[in-house]
Amino acid sequence: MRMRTGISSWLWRMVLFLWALTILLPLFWIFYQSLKTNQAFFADIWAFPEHLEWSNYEKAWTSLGIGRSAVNTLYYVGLSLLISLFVSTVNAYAFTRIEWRLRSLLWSVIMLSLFLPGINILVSQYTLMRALNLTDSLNGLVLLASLPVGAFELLLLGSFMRTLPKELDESAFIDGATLFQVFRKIILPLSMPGIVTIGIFKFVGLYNDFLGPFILISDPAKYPISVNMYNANAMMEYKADWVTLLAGLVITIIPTVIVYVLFQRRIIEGATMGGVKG
Amino acid sequence: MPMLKNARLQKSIFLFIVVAPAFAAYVLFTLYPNALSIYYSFLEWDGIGAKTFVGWDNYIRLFHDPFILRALGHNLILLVTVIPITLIISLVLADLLINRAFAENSFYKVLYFFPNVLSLVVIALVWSFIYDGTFGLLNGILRALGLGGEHNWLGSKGTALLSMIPLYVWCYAGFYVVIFMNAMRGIPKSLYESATLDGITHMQRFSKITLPLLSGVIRVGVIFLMLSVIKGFEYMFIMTQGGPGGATDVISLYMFNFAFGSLNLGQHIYGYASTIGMMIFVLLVGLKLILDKFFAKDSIEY
Amino acid sequence: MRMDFQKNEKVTLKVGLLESGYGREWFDLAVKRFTEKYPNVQFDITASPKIGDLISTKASAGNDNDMFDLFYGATWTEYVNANKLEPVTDIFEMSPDDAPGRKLNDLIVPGFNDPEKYYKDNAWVFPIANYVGGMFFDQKLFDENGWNKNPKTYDEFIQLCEAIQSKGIDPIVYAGLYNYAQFAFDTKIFEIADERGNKQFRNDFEYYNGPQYTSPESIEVYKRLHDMGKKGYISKKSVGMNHTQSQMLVLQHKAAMVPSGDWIENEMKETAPDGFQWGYMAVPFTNNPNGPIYVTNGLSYSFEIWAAKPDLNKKWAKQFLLSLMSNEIQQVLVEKGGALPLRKDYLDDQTRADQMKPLQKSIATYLKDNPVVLELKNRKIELTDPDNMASLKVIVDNMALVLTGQEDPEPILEDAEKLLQNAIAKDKKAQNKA
Repeated sequence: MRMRTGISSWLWRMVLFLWALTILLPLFWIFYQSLKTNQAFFADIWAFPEHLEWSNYEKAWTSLGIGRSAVNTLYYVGLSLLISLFVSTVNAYAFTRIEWRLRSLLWSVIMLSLFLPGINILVSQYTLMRALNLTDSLNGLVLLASLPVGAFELLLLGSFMRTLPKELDESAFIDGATLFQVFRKIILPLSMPGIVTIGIFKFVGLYNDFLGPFILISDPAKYPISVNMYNANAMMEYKADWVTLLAGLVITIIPTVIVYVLFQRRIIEGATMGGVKG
Repeated sequence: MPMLKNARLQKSIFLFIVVAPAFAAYVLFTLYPNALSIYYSFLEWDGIGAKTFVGWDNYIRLFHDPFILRALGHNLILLVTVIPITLIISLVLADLLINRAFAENSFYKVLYFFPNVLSLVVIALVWSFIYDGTFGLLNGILRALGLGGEHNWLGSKGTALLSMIPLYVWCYAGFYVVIFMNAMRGIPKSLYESATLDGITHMQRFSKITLPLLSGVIRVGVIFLMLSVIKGFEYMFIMTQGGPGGATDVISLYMFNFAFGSLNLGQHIYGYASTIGMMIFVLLVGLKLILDKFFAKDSIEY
Repeated sequence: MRMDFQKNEKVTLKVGLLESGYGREWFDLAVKRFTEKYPNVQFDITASPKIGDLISTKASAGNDNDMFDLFYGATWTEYVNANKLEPVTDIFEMSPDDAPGRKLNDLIVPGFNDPEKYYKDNAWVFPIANYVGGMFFDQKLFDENGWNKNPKTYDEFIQLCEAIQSKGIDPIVYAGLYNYAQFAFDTKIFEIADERGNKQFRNDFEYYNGPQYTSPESIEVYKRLHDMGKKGYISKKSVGMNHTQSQMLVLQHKAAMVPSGDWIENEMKETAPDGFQWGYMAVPFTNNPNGPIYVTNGLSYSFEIWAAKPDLNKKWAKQFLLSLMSNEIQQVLVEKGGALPLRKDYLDDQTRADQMKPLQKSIATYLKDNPVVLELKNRKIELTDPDNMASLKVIVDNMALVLTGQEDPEPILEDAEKLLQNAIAKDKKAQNKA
């Protein structure tokens, strides 16, 4: 299926390119600044580096404690992502495709959190976690980050699942399938693009979340990378060392991009499956 | 009817296992700490000392506070610009990426995602240098084009707020491109194929098939954007501190300054901050209800 | 005063440490020295440049057991009012190990301790480092152009600005976002009051008697700054600029002076171009060549002790704070951290004096050669009404525009004054009720 080519096609191509440029240029800027000395950075923020200071990366690696915090990050983000995706998916299913009595009430209650301002919420959360003896523990963090069903995930995934035809479940039930089977064999695969979408953003959210881990964990040996990055950012108030910070940033965005590319591939598979149903 | 009974039982078990724990955790860890704001909004409290109940004092203050209206005005300007621009740009980009077979698309799909992974501080740094009055990139471009180029974009009352619009759009569009792309992938190809046979153009296909099918996701997008624009203040906090002369003071920044003792005062006024928070809550719920009127829920199903 | 220190008293001190420009080498060394001497004391340290967030969260959560024993002291009046802090007054009566028989109080540089120390009859914050605020510049640039590095009067300072401007360089640029101008101009109201012989001024200021923002002294200061802005001495670029951007302009010699604190040399040590040599001056507002010139100073690093801790912990925390005042620890702070020494006798040792960084020497020389009064703009009454915040907001919002000559100071000062007087009236009413 070839669309009309020609001038309009080139124009649209130009649009894509221009938008890409607005992202490429800052990225490129960040990358080449991360290879300068602080002296050169402060002398001219646009100039290219005269020598490539790869040692900035070494410095960033050590000062950000990446080696040590990588395991914590993997554990915290990985486990939280798995659990929260499970929680979101089954709840989106329960809230959009099963009829039950309190459904719309509970749905509204969950949606309330989107609108609340969250002043001083950290203190209350901290007090709670402390009372439950869940502070200073990665498992506590995982619990906090994954078990409470999130309005954002529910809304997005719910709006996705609602678009799946009702007849799908109904005919399956008539064929004698159980609820669990319908969920696992029909709804889950068809919702894959939606799950992957919230998965991507949940991942980015967890990977960059620093405030929760910073407040709830007091042993630096348990910090995920985000807290170290947060501290490094905050240090810029006291010490002008932007080049190391930018090198650290380049290192820390690599995992996100890898995860994104992998997820995207998964989405395409999901979409092809979705295509079969039509 | 044993079949039905069994189905009911299945349903109850499923709901109990699935909904109950997640909802309980939500009430405990999300709703309860948030709901405390209602209580705080009736207090005079610095976060550490005694809590004094002051009745409706904070609410009365709210209606006499000239900064509130000014800040809301700034939010309004951002709402009516950022939301439509972001939606249009991200819908068009997503459609181009999914439904056109340009060779470079697979690269763009990854690239467009990047604004989501950069840290706030770094984005603020980059944009501060774009807008800088001395060695800013924007001024450099304007100079090259012979259009002046001596303007202090974030340091002038006239341009500071407007300068935030491209920054917001740039940050948010990456998010919605991904969401819309993935939603478009969920649209069955057969729908497009039959349409293509009827010989419709790309534009018609976008407006007649893609947009209606995406209306649910777009509606969610509008709500999220509204929430982000009204709750957001981080870039103002880092890049303008609400200035100059209050030109970029938005409602959440105003609230934040009371709660976290910014302005070099080191004083926390949680009571009034929570009252402002309650006002934001009412405002957001009201806006959402208005939006619901505009978008009939699930208007189009297939 | 002597306390009994038993080495069999096992104690763990939880410390909330600010990681700032001073680094943490000095603290690690102090802990090492202390635990060598008292092996019964252990330290559990949480360090971060954002430690204040953690401290305030723990303080608000109200679990005394979980709170730090010893922590960086950013906010304290709120804590004192809530009876959460342990007074540190008695530490100043004790003697450091390297100065037996001498009270700590008499060993600290005068002016580096007094102003912020006492509130409700006690000291609550234990000083570790003090900053000195003023104008910072490249001495080399000044020498090359033959500019006056030590103007003695306001007129001389204005002449300096003219001279700089005539070379096409912005005389002053500052981080308008964070109102960094305060580091150079905050205490000028006291200088004007002093020159005019207003002896009541300090007291009126501390207790909010009479007009504050619209006092003749305050109006005079802002008028002068506004004039400097209109003439372009304070660059319009300052509005909306952060500290990185403003300091960049000074490093690139696009601007000559930047208001800041003495930490600037250490902060920028990797960034300054070769040959750049930081220098210091205060801005005189007096026209009397014999001064005095009021210099803004304040705590840049300090500790507090949580009151609701076992007496044993508090006792050892105090002993540890005292140990930080030894000249050995001071030396690491000065040489590695770039702080100014708090101990008077620090410079008695010639090798230590020689080890000082160029900027530290420049400041020491300036303080010695000029009729300087170290002053801090602090008050004795805490206003809690939101109108106080609102009045401050009026000032903070508009100050950069006033200082760069784009807005007239008087209407803004009047607006702020109105709100402030509201807050004062309401707070007095609240106090009467209680």
